[in-house]
Amino acid sequence: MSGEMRATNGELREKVAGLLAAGQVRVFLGYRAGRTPLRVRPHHVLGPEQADDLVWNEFCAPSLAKYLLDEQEDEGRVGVLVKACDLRATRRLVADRRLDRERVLLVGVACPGMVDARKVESLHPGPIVEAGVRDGKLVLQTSTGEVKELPREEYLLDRCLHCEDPNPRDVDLVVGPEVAPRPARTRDYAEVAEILAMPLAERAAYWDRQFSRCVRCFACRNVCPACSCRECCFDVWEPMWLSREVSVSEQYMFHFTRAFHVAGRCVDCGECERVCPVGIPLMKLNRALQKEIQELFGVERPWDPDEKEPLAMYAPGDPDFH
Amino acid sequence: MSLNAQSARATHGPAAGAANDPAAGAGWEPRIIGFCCNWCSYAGADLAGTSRLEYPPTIRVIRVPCSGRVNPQFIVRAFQKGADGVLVAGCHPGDCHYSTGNYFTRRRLQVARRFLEYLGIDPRRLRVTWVSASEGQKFADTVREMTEEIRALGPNRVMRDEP
Repeated sequence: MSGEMRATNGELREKVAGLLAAGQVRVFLGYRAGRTPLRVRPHHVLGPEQADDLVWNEFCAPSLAKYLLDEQEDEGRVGVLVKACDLRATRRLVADRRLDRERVLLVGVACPGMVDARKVESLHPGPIVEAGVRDGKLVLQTSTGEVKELPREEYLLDRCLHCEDPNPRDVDLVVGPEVAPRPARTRDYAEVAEILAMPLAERAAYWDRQFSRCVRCFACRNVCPACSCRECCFDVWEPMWLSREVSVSEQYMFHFTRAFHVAGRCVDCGECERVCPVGIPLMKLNRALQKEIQELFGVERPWDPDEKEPLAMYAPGDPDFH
Repeated sequence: MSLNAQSARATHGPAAGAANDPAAGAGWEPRIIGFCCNWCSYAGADLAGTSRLEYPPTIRVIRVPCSGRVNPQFIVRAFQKGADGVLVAGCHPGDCHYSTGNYFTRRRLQVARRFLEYLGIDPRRLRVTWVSASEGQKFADTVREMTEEIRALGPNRVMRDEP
């Protein structure tokens, strides 16, 4: 990791140990080293001595926001490390009245952009024993001792390329210095236009191919900050919206519903696509809905939790059918 | 399939059973599921009947308390189970029995219709229209138009359970 991030990591450990020692939080949610150098795991820090395992590096892509729902079941305040994109997720949960802002201590950290581990793994198969960023280069060391220097920008998560502001705002505590924003790519919805350019039959064939890989593990639903119903329609038996049958038809029901239930509420964090074990391009569904909502109802920033929910309101002058 | 089930299916009207199998080709008739709001469109459909207006027997009407009751999952389920088209009919904007139900419907289904199109379903297979209790003729015309349109499109295969 870069020197700056190492310093931030030290500051984070110190501050979190302090918070726990002073009893300001019951538990702190952060990251710890994962099974490979490209991965991190969530770390539930319960005491000051466990803060030493906290990690902050270029591979801390996962959003910890959804863990807050479980953690707030118990008494006391919950601390959590948030990047700017994770903040949109916590704001979504607060807007949905699923999270009590008063019971959360947000520790913000400026983010230089996160590396897409899956992209690295697919382009550089084989065991990697060390990984980090030095002078803007992604440096990998393989088990044979070979060292690869790669252009970091090409290995960032898609959401980082669209990042408007990498610095956390309105948090309770900040660790580390500010980061200069990179020029954010405009949202041109190119990936949506690509599908809209296909004839209908070809679109259906494309989605058939994508959806038929789905193993219905529900990871996309579980990680999504906009998907936080206390009772999910896929978990109830009556009505049974989703049978246990393996068929493409059932996959359409699942994916149509998942996307539609977050229409106008998706915060564009891309976590669903990141966690999908079979690589279904879920953001192509979410972005299509964003684009539609922008065009139909003139909602400028459908991914912003501060916008009123476009499907929970109406205007008498809304576009009519035919 | 048991004999009983077969004979039961045969009594389900002209558009059910083997004659409606797309593979059969010539005998194929569109199958339309119509969600009609209790306060306007269901009464409008009723008026079409009591006025002896002719319209194709391709529609199966399901009465809902308001067009706002129509969860987009209903539409997907209809396509799953073999519908070739779905009609949602509600009160005219401004005339909703519940004041604003159909305004929400309009937003929701505008998005749903485009989204289904994005997934490969021809938007003509989902029609949303406003039929008041006095518009029996409009209901009959809508069903006729929609039947013709879908007949030209042929059977829907997207999202459909394997027959």
